[in-house]
Amino acid sequence: MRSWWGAVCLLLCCCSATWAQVAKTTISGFVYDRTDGEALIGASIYLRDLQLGAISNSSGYYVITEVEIGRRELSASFIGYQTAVEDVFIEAGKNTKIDLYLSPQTLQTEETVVHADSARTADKLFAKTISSVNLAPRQINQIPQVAEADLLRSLQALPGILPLSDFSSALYVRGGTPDQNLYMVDGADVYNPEHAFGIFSTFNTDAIKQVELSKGGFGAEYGGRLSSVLDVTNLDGNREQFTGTASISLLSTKSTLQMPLGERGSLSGSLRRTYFDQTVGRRLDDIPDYYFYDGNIKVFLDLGDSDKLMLSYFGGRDFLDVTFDGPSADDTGFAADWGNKTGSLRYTRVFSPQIFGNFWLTGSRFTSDFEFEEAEVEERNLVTDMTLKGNLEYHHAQSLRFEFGAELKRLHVRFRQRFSAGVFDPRERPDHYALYGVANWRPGAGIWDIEAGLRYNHFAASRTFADVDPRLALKYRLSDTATLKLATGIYHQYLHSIPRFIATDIWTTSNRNQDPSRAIHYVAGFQQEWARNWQFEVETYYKSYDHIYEFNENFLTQLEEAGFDERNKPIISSTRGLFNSGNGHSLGIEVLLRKDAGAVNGWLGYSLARTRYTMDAINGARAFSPRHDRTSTLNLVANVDLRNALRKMRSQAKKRDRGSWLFGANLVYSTGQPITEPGSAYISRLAPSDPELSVNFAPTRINGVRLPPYARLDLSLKYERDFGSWKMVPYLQIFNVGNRRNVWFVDYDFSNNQPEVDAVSMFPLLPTVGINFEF
Amino acid sequence: MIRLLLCTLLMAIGGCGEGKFVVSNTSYEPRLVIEGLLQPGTAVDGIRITRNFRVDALIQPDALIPSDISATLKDEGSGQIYALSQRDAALVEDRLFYYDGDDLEIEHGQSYTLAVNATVEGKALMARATTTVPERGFRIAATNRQEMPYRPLDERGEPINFSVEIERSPSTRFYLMTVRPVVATSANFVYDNPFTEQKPSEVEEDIDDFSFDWDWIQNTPRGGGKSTIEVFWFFFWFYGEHEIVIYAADPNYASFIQTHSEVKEDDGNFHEPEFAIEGDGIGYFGSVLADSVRVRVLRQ
Repeated sequence: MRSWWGAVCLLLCCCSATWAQVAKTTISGFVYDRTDGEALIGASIYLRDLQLGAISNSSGYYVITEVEIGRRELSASFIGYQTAVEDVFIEAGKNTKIDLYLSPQTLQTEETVVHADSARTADKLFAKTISSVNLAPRQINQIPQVAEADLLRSLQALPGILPLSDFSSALYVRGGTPDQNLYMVDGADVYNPEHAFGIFSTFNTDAIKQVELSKGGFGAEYGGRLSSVLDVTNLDGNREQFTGTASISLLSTKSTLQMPLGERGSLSGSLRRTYFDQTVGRRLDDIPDYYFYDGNIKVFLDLGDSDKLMLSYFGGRDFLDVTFDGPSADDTGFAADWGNKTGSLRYTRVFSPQIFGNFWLTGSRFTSDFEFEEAEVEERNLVTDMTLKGNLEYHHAQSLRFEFGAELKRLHVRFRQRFSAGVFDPRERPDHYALYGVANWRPGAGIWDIEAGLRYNHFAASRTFADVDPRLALKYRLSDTATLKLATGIYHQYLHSIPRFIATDIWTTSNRNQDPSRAIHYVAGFQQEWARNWQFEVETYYKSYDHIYEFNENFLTQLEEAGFDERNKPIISSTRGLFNSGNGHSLGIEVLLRKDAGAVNGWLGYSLARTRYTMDAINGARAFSPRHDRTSTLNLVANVDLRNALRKMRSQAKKRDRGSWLFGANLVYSTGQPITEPGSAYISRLAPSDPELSVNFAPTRINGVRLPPYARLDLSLKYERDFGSWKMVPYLQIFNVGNRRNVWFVDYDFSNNQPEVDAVSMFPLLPTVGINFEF
Repeated sequence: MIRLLLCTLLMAIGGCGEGKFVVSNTSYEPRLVIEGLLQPGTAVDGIRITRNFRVDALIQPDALIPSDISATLKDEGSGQIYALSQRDAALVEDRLFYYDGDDLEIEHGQSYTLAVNATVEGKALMARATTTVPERGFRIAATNRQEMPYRPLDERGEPINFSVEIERSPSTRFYLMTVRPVVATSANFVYDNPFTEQKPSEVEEDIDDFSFDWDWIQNTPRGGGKSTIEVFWFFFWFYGEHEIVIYAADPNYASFIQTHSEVKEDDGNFHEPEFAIEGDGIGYFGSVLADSVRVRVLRQ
């Protein structure tokens, strides 16, 4: 810990030296999409002759300080947009505010034209935070998936991010579990971001503006999770005209509409509903009634040149109704519903060109209800989160930036399960306060980028915890095209979930029975620009975990009641015994070759990884691989504009066609998952009154064997037809084209003393057709 | 274009086929399997001692019982050790261990240790477990009815369950309930049920699946007093008389009941059960107090 403080102090001393310099004129402003007025996140702004630049932040704001007076050429570039160049005159003693407007490239998949005055891929790679991934909606929508495009499933195609099975959209990032990921939509935390038992995520890809995922080594502005941060920003809304998209597939229909609100604002909204229950489900027996809906609405207002207000709401719910199909006239069954609601109010203020602030009031609420009245079973799950937070950026100099923030989170976490033998009702109402500060220093004319941060967490539940998390990230330009990056940090997590396959995950908090989980990340990366448009990245990481938790499958033997109800049934209000605790580590190396533009684009990724846990009551306290551990994973994602790809092969000029064929492929090949082989079987009667001997299993070595390798190829074909004011895109997607029977788990049984061992497969070949409209 | 097609073809080939799973048996280890319950006031009998077997192996009944088993029961109160004998029966399932003497009486509140030694696959195995017999006081006190139609409904249309009121043993907080039809045939099966459509031939084929069910209550209040066990209407699959047996179970047996049948998780993976046996043993050695009652399910 002492070395951490040393590094931070050294950085602050260096900062003080820079502080003494005389500030020069500052250029600042916002970067917008010219066609719809959306603020662009991550755009590069550059003054070529002064070799000064900046990247627009999450609000599209940029600042370039220490600009010498005179006539300058200011350029702005962003992937998928034409580079904008403006001549500006910088006056002495006067800060200049310049909002920049970029026009989308006419060819959607056109290669980035690299002007001498635009930021290069190498600069964008340097600007990118270590282990971070940015995906645009266009890229998400082009990856073929089950039934329809899905954000979380698209992310699973990146190295270091794994699913547990075809049936899960949950993310296992660098050996971490899904509850170790912080999911945020417009600044609000989302606790169970999955629909349909985990098959689909709650994020409607048509409503998304930008996705940023950090796989590790993230800065002090984020906390409360051990593994990753997924920050989703929804569309603010079109400020120029009314536009919309609509799509219909076998599974669902959805629509997103955007419109201006006078001169100073915009409105966007999306709605999606599945209708499998109303179509195919009605014709099939033994299919339960199931559907989900979700929607969001977002209002964006310019209150003035320096003040902006954003109001965002998301709501979604799943409904399941299972009625047993017996011959009796009296029906019986059970019903369940679950869903999220999030809301956020963000006020953005430019206090001065160098001081930029964002302030949020957010709320998030996840609830689930399950009821099987005839078995006297009911379950209620509740997580509410009210958060007030603020973040200030201070651009002291071109090479020195500070960021400060505070966060107050009030949580209410409750799980209540009533069953015939009692009531399980643990609950907590903790408060989580966090303070953080970040100093970013870029000495050596931009050769170095050093960012040090500290985050203080105070978590008050039935026990109070206070932790300090230092973070450090270094970037160094090895050459004009290559960058070396390092990051390390300590991370604490105070919320823990019990994953469940069919039902929704149960959240609990750190308390008198459970210490906070802790992880330390060490990440090193090398990035290089290849042939202008190619990004090559290699990252290696080591992550250690302390006090991590796995659900104790034998928790029934550990329960201790707090009291009894009027029928003498126990009321269990403690989470004691619910988890096995332990520690572990993950390490790995990831290679990514990515091309974001061009008639053929996509990426090739490979990861070599290993995760080991040691838990007090699992596997005889010996280390074991968790179920999500996969040694090797190869991903290939390709998107091809067929006509222009052909033209390129024939060395012909690319053209914008009224109709274009888009081909997509997603190949994944990975080592099989670890699984527990039961080891041995035995015969026994349950009780003296049991008339039969039954075969039972006695597993011993947990996850000691591996399933066969997993392989899958998904393909899609779209035809984009442009009718001027509107566009139609019919598509065909085929999931698991090879109909490979990937093993999900193995079923063991005995029939007439003969062993029966059956491998249970995941999704077979699944074709989907649909049509999208843009207007 | 040819390169593109070739790449797609190669990718398609990569995504074809079948993941073949072969049982490795790497986690197999020979174990002694114990199934034994002591009941006060009854002779020590019915203790089954077998061995485990591989999950891909044919079950050969004769090979399930090691040939050199030695089993003893120690009264922890007196320190006396009693050698158990094995019945010489034609059927393997009847070759149970018992105490062939009249100087051993199982008593409430007393502790007993079963020790077993045997050789399996050339490996000398030892298993040992100690149980403390539940204290006196348990009995079935009352039931809400002696007979009832299948899935009776109350005035609100809600099903009425058969319920059993028990007087608890002061030292026991876990009670197992088993339900078993006295006669289970395809002729008295409840075909008009809300769950599944069955033909008589299917019932006969799966009759074992329908003719035994069980549930439990746990964490009952400490000390004596009364508790109620609900026997849900969906535990009954036949018309006619059913025997309900309630067992007041010691912690050894309770942990076996709570964990042995749940070793397979929802996603198909397995985890370890809890066996209160030291050494190389699996299964259970515990003690219970038992009481039973009958209820008749009437055709409507």
